[in-house]
Amino acid sequence: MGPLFPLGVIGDELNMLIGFLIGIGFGFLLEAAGFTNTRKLAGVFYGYDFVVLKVFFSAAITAAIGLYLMNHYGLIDIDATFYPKTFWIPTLIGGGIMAFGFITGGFCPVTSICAAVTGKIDAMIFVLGAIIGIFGYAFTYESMWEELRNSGAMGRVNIAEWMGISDGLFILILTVVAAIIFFAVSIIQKKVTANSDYQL
Amino acid sequence: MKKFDVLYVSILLVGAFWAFIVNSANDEPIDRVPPCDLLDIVSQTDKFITTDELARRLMSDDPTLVLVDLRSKTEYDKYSLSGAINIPLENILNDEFADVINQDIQTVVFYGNSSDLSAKAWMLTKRLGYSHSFILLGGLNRWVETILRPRPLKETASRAEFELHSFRKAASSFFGGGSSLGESTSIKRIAAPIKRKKKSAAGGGCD
Repeated sequence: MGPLFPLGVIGDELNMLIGFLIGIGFGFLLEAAGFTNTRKLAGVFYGYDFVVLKVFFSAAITAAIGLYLMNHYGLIDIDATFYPKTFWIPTLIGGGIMAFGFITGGFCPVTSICAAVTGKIDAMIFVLGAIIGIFGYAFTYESMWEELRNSGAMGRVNIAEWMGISDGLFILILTVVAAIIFFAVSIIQKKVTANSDYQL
Repeated sequence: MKKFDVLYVSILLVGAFWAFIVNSANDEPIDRVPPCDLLDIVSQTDKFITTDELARRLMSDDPTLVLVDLRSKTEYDKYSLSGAINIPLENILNDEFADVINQDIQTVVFYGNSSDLSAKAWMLTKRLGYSHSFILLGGLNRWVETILRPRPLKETASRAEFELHSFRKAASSFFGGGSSLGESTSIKRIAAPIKRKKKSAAGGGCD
C-alpha cells in the first residue's frame, strides 16, 4: 500500500498538500513544546533538561518499530522508501559540526526556523548563517569538498546488517538501550537541577 | 521519570519485542542449509540417478517418481520423457512449484539435455533443504545414447554387460526408440563374416 507517493497511490499535488500539513503540525508542536527556546536544546549538554534527547530518540525508535511492523504486515514497502548511502567520514565531521552548532547557537536547523518565525533575532542570524553555509558549500563543492564528501563510502548499508544481526534484534537492543538512557538522564537531570537554579 | 514517560517507554518496549518476535518467526521459512552441511551434501555420491535405473522405474510405473524437465517450453514440447513436468530452470524457485519439488516421499529427478541444468537445479533445491532431489546422469543425451539407441556390444563384453544391453534393447522398444532394427542388422553384418572365417578355419584344420 505505502509509501503513498513513490508507489503512485497519490499524485504530486496531494503529496505537496500532505507535506504542507505535516510541516504545519511539526512546527506548531515544536513551538508548543518549547523547542524554539535555545536553553531547551543547550540543556542536553549542561545536563538540566533532556527533553530534546528523549523526544528525538523516542521518535526514531517509534518510527523504526512502526516501519518494521508495517513492512511486515504489508502496509508499507520499506524498499520503496528513500534510503541514502553512507559516507562515514563526512557524516562524523558533519555530526561534530552539528553538535557544535547546537551547543553554541542553541538551535537545530528546524527549531532555528521555527524560532526565527516567532521573531527571535538570534534564530534569524542562525538561519542566515545556515543559508550562507549552504551556498558557500555549494559554490566551493567541486574545488574543496568533493573528495571529503565521497570519502568513507560504505554503500547503502543498514546498521543491523553491518553488525550482522537481524533488524528485529537491533530494534529491541536499541529500545532497551534507550530505556536505560532515559532512566539515567532523568537521574542526572534531578541531580543537576537540585544543585543549581537553572531556569528556562 | 514521569508516569507518562514510563508508560511511553513501556509501549516502545512492547513494540520492540513484537518486532523482534515477528522477525524471528519470519526467519524460519528461509532457513537455509548452513555452508558446512551443504559441503557434505555436495560431496555425497548418491545425487545421481542413471538412465538405466530411471528406465527401470518408468517401466515398472513407479508412482513415487516425479520427473522435472528443466529445459525451455519449446524444447519440452519437442521431446520430453513421459510424465515429466516442465519447470524451466529460471522458474525453479517459484513458490508455485515448491510443492512439486519439495518432497519427502517422492523422488524428484531433474533432467536437461546434459547434467548441466539439473546440477544447478539440484544445488538450488539442496540449499533450501529439499531432501529428495536427484540428477539424471548425462541428461537426455545419455538417455538417447543408452536407452533409446543402445550401441551394439563387442563380442568380448561380459555377461553383465550383455544383460544390461538386453535390458536396454527391451527398454528401447518400450520407449519407442525404434533403433533395435538398425542394431540387429549391424550385429548380423558383424556376425556374418566372423562365422565364415570360422568355417574356413575349421575346414583347414580337418584337411
